[in-house]
Amino acid sequence: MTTDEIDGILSSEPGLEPSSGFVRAVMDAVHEDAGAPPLPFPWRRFALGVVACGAVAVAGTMAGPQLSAGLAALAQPLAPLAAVAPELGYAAIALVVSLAIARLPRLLARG
Amino acid sequence: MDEGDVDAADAARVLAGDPDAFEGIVRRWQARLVNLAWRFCRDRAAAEDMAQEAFVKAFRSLGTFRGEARFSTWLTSIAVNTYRSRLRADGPPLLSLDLAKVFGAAASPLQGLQERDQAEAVRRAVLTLPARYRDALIVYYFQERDLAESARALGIAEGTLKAQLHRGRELVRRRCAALAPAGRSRGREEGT
Repeated sequence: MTTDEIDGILSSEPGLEPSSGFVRAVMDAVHEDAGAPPLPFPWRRFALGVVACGAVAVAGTMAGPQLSAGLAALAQPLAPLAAVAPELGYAAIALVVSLAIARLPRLLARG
Repeated sequence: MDEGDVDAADAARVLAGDPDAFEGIVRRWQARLVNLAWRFCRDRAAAEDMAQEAFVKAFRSLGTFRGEARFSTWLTSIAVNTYRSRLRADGPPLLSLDLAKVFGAAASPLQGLQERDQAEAVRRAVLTLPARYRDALIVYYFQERDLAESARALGIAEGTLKAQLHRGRELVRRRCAALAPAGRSRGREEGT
């Protein structure tokens, strides 16, 4: 079969007549759609998110010194790596943090 | 008043708060949208369902029709996006390319029927292509080979569409070459 024959076949598709109740069905769906109230903005979730962000910011500020000590302890196993190449240590920490950030929304969405 | 003006007038009435005015648009464009959907799925019930979804989306989006493109292009573009999304969500239609399975094992003794079967197999082969080639071929032939209108409806450049059409036709040709007319020939030989 040549592409010209394919061209001819695809150009001559027979038409299909919609069924008699099609217009009615579409208009019923349109009226249903027009009558449906618009989706309300999720103010409750938005407020919870704002409060959570604020809480994390305050907690981060207050627990800063302890956190840095904790992070230093966490980074201890990477010390030999950092001694060889400091960039690799930073890259490893960035990778772990990125993975945690990527997983967090999924955990929240599941919850 | 030409068709485009009538559509624009109906759209304005809908936007002014008269949803019943949309019926005129549905009546004028129902055959076009159902036929386009049919080419994407080759199933009448699914085609009407997809076309209905496209009309509802068009109804919701009437405010975005600014008259810069023709109403038909705007509506076709919404329909194409709706049908693509539906196929992405539901998966491609389950269609056989084996003529013996599609049209029954017994071969038709009539040349006309054989040609019709072959044509149907070619149209089904289009649906087995990767989405970009499938969409390009369906929309281009649906738009009566109007390259500019097809490219606008698909939201791609004309050059890109040309390349996709070339590649798509070639893929269809290869797939149709792999179709087994032997099954039909064998059936015909057994029948004689």
